[in-house]
Amino acid sequence: MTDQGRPATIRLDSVSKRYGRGEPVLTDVDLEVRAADILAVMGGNGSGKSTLLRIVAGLSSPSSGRLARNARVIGYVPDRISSHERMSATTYLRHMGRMRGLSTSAANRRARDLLDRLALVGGAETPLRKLSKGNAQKVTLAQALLVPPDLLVLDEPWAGLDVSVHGTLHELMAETAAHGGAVIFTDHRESVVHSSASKVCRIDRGRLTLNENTGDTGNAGNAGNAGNATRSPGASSWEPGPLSELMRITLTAGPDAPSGTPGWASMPGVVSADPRDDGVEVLVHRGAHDRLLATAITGGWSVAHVAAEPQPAPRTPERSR
Amino acid sequence: MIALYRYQLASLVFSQRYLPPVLVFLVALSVGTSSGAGPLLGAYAFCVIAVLGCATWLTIAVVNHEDPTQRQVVTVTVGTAERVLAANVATALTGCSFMIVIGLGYPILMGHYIVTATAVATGALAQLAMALLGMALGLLTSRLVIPRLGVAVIVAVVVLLAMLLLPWLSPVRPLIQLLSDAPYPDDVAVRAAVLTCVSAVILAACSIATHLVARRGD
Repeated sequence: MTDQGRPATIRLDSVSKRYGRGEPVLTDVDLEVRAADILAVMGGNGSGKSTLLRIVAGLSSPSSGRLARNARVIGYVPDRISSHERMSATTYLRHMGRMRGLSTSAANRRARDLLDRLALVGGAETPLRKLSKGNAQKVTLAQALLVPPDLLVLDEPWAGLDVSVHGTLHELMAETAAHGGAVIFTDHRESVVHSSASKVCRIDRGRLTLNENTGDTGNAGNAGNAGNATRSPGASSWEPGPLSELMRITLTAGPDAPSGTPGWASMPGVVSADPRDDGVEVLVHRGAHDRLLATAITGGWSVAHVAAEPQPAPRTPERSR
Repeated sequence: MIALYRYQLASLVFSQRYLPPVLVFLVALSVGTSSGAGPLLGAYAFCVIAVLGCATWLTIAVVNHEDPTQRQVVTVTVGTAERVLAANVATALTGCSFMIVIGLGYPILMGHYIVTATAVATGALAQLAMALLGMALGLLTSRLVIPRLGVAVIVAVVVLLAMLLLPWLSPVRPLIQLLSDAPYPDDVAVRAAVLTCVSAVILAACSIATHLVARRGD
């Protein structure tokens, strides 16, 4: 990857955390998230991932180790929703926007855009306590994105969100990364993690292990074993089940599309990217295709054709850089 | 910072959690000072006790009405926890100012007291001092320091009683003494001002203590 060219947004050097005299929640965590990275942290309940995110967001300080943060605007989406009793979504987001330094009208406009995109059901003027869990989660998500953050921290952002908005969440995360923001989120489902993250790490009883870039390694070995549940040891955490299938996506350059191909081949899960006369044909693992489509659409590309590939194709030389 | 203050004020108003302490204050005032007579400071000696208790209650409401998770979101939004706490203090002080205005005006309008400028100024200073001390106690018994509301209420009541009874513990007892002991010395307003300054220092110390204790768990 082109890691070296981008500045580190957050960097943890052997960070440990313990509360009082209890067992350490985090042990010797080394982590670096650079601008435009989307990092997924996987782990079970009580593995320390929420604590890690609180440290990253600056809400908690490490018991030992060093932490360097280079982010002015931080967006934080907690795991539990925080519903204000009687304030409406619009009022809440207007206040949150003004705290970010937006004018009242700019905050209103931005809040309306985000709530539209997230398809808030139940009305922007309804008191927040009357919103369902999923809709309150959308408001929590919107407050973190009122100003494009340099660092976006999301704790289980998919929990409680209905499936129809999952794509929007992918898009919002990809846009934040495209703006040069670093994204770090937690989830426990492999499929979700691999379709949205550019890096995946795993946390288990407070110890963090960084998996390789999802797009680079591991999946090549798995690509051929359709339905094979075994995993090669040491491979990255591509889940073989959902990824054994491939999708062929044809994209055409829209009127305002950038000239030249963005690095399709370097995106996670992409097996091959063949330039065509009016666009590009991308072969991508199912599971990673949502994120690719989101990036393409936001980049001004038009999706001409999407189909499941009947035979998993072998790895093409284009993938190795 | 102004946006944060506006948010907290709006949030408090929407939550309606300011209502119980304010209503109790109004009831106490109407029971204690309506159609009384004599020196105005005598009426204010009663008002300051009501201000003390209700300022404590209001400050606890200001801090506790917000969900802890939402407080974290706000903290990330504005950058530091110090700012959030400072806005809490400003919001509580705003609420207390309304109580002080009512506390100063109500006895004058509804009683038959001897109104002098010195008495009003002394009363204002004394009520402000009590509001600051109540806020200090409110911060120390808020969720930031005592997570369990049941324990917090008991601690708050015990400390309030101790403050009313023990002259060396806080400026509360000296202030009440000052307002109720007629004939009043000529420099009664100056003495009240000194006690107000002491109260402000106590509030500042308690704010810092609250911040340190709240950070301890993080």
